[in-house]
Amino acid sequence: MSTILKLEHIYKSFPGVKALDDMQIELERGEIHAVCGENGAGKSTLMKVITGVYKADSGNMYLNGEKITVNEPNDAYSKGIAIIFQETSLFKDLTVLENMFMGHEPVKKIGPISNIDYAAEEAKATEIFNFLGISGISFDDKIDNLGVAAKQMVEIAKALTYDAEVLIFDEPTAALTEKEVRSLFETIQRLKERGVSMLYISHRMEEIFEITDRVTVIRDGSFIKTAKTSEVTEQQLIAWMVGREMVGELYCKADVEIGEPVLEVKGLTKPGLLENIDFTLRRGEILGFAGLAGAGRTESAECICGLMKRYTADIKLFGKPFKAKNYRHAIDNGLVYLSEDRKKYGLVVPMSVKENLTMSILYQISKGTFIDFKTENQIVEKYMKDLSVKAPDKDFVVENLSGGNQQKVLLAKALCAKPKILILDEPTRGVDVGAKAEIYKIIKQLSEQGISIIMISSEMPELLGMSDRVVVIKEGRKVGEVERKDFSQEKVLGMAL
Amino acid sequence: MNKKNPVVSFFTSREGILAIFVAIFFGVLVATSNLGQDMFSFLKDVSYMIVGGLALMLVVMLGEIDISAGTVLGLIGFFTGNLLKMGVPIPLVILVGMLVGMVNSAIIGFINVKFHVPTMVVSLAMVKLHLGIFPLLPNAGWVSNIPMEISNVGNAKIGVVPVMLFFSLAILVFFMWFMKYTRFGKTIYAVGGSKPSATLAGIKNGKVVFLTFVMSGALLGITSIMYWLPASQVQPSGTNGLEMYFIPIAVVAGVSILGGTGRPIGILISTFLIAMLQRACILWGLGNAWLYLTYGVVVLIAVYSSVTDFAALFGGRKKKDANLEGGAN
Amino acid sequence: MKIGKKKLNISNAVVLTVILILLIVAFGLIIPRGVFFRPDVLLGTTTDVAYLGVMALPMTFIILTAGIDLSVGFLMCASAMFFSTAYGATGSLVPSVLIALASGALFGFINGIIVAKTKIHSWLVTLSTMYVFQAITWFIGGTHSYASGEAFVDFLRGDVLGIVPIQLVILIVFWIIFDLLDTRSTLGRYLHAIGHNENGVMFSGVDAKMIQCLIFVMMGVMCAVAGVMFLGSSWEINQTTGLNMNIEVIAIVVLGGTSVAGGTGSIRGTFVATLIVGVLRRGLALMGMSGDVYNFILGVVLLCALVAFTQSEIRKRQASREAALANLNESSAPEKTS
Repeated sequence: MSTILKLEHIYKSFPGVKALDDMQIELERGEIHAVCGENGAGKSTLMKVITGVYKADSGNMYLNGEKITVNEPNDAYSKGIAIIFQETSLFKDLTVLENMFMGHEPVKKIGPISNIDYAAEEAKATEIFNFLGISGISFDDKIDNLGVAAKQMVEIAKALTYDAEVLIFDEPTAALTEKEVRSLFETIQRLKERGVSMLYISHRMEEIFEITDRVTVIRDGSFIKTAKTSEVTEQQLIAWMVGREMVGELYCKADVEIGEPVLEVKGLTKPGLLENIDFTLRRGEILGFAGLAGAGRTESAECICGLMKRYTADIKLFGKPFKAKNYRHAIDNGLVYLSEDRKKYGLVVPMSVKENLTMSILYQISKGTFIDFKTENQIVEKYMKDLSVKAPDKDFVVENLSGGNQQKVLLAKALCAKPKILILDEPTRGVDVGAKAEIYKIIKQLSEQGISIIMISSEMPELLGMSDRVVVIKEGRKVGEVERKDFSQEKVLGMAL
Repeated sequence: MNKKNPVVSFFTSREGILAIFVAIFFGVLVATSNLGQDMFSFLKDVSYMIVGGLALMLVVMLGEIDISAGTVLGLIGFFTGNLLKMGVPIPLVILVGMLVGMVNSAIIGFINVKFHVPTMVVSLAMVKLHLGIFPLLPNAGWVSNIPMEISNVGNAKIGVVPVMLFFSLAILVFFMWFMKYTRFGKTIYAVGGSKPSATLAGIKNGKVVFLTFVMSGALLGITSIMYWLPASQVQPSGTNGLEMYFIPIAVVAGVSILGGTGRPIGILISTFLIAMLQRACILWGLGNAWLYLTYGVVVLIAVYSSVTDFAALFGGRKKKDANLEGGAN
Repeated sequence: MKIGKKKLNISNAVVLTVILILLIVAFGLIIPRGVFFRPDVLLGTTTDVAYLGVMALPMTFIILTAGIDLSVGFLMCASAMFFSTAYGATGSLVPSVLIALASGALFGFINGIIVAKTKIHSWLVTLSTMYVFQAITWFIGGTHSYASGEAFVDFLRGDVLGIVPIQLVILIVFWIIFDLLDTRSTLGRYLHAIGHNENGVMFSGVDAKMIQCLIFVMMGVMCAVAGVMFLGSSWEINQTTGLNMNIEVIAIVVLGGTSVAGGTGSIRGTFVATLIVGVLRRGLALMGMSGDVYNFILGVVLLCALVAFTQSEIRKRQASREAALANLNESSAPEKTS
């Protein structure tokens, strides 16, 4: 086999983060090559460098042995490299056909004037649809009217309109059902038979072992290893991903006596999203929420905290019926939620550490409408010290902090609201291993103080390492509950998938 | 794939429903007022409004705006009026008018693209510039005594239909073709729909915004000439506030103000609607107050309807995607 | 290691104050006989713009949240006409002022509630309501004029200590209130935060929509105040008074360094910008130039300010990012340096 795409010595930095540090990868013709690593390891950045969305600070890229430069997406497309994005990149108000050929419509000259050749578009699209075995989607359908799986199919079809030799899949199965995943794999096999080389990014181990030929592991923006998939075990892969020395000691579980129920949720239902979810959280307990992205874990938390409206549920907080009117009402009752997307929902990143930290308790530390700066400064200093937030001072702008320190600011913000129940949504996303360990330590201390915690996480080791009990949610429904003594990756994953 | 009947699909679309409403309104207006006798001047208004509405539609489709679209017409009129008076042939004057408009809009586009200043604020500043520049021009910007032969060209008619209307319709047809059959037309939809997605599709957002503004400027140049040509003089401040017609036309045409949708054909219908509302307020003796009130309400309703899915409200169209209500907004 | 790198951070308000002083000196030297340096003339420059300044204060709040209000001119006009009509009918001042304030609050609330409850951006909402308020001024109609002798007119054209115009005093009082709100209150903190990231504020248990609605109500009330002040300083008001006034108010806010992208800006900057515009207007008038020259210059200045402030904002952010990155690269070992 010959090498089709090769990258070496790729460096890329963002403010506060070295995203790629001497990265390399080699893709052979006609293979399916998995790229795996933890969240924030640099997979997505690498893919964006390959497709020209980001420009690497330095490094070399070779296609078929020739050195190429990719400065913008068009360069990549014209060289036959296309990507199917994790978040759909389609235009929701345009039709399927318009989306598929956007930016590279075939044209037909009528005299001196170039017209978009709709006949050619349809012919090519029909051919691609036939090849992929897509039916039930009309070329005139607006993207807005399609479901998730259909959108994904259009994304794949769109990538094929570029006559791509190299296709990149960025977590393609994250939002798909089991059946849809099967049909996606068939499509991928068909592409392989056609000689297309593919990079496949996924979190799901069993997928990697099922369809990929080789696997490259990256960690903290650096290249770790490339190996034949058939020659490695899952344990080996995980060890490479997390870094061998950290396994075992990373998670610290407090030995806390679990008390009375503090939060009882019965029949949590939100049409189209959640259906009849029941669970109970006890004092001092860490309750894990497992499931795929989009399964309804975040939505459950947001409903309970009053961040989402129009749901029905029977909720008891400390034994009393409770329904959050809004998030402030929840905070006042000791219920605090930490968003998974700290830049979008958690923090106001262009503002200072201080301003972020006290954002949700500002009304508690103000006289009338005026802020008591002295109390505020004391609180901020206390929590910055307690959580060892590494920032030059409390007026430092949050967006310039590293991911780990941003997450600590977010935690501090939640803690200064004096929560009795803390809901952590992906508390270690985009955080390096060192900061992860610190965050786990903080979580341990919190549960020792008797704070009950719900931890939503997509990282199985973290979930199993930290929780007392795990609730598994799938497609808006609770599909199971596992006690700590019965914990195993297979069991929980089996329910979630 | 199965094709729908184009006639049926037109009359069940937003434009089609609007067209039926406009036709009824037109009938009522003709029956209850003397619009019939005034048809020529009404259609003359329609002619320039179509082009002005198109100019605004282009920028509104990008999610941008040009508040200075009214005041700039006076400035363009100053240049073209003087040229006409000097006897320069009309086609050449049209080119100059387009050029002035293009320069003006290019400034707005450039400042937006290069310095990331919202076009709404940039064009507000341009209004101030336009208002301030007329009095600094010779004769305070007034151009009078343009020969009758020239204004006769603007007033030429076939029956009661001004020749200019055919010109406007030609431009409209051109844009119907342009938006559907050229790559650039498609990229306007794309950039208006989602800039990040457009970048991923290899489209250069800045270039598209800039060029679209230039194109809009050219259309404003034509609008200005169509507005002033039938008169024998140019009085620059006369066009102040004309954006008040163009913005509703563009918005009502189904251009979602959030960008990304809309078809040029809608402009034709909404121009009739807006022009008729204006006439109705005059002919029914309602006065300015009602005119302003109607425009305010019409714009609000049009915008509200474009951000709200009425079809879904009435149970018409069900989305297949249950996953739309993400986040907690 | 950071002490050497720390740059002198000059706030916009300081830069603007320097510009204000330079402008005064320039006009003082150009205008014959040093007329412009006379304290009464200098302080008198504020009477032209005090009502604009009063509207620019809440406008700063709105622009801080990345919104805008285009309806202010006609909102002011409509409230002033309510005041005038009520005053003409009853002859008593306090109820009339209350009616004006109530109408302003109602109009502001209409703007605010639509902005808060729909996904429509505020510029479009207020563009539409601008027409509606314009319609209201036309419904009331007519020219409302006053001569000296009316108690409130005499009061509003009067001065304190024989030299400080009462209009300036009113402006300063409101400036202090708004400045306190901006720098020391929870509201001010939230406004900046909403401008940067509305979601982040909502996920802190703060009702950002309510705050948005509130500032539009504040805007409406202040427009009513400005309307009465305008009647006092300009003697008369008619249906076209409000035309393009929104641009003047927005220009002041932008000149004051408030970013139209939201988040950054200050009431202090807006206050100094009000004074600058006053000096510019009166100075040009004393030089014998027409209001159109002022319009033209203001347009140019506004464009330059927009470009300059957005650029400096981007530069500042980039610089602090680069500094942070350099810091990261230097200190792989997490040692405390400050």
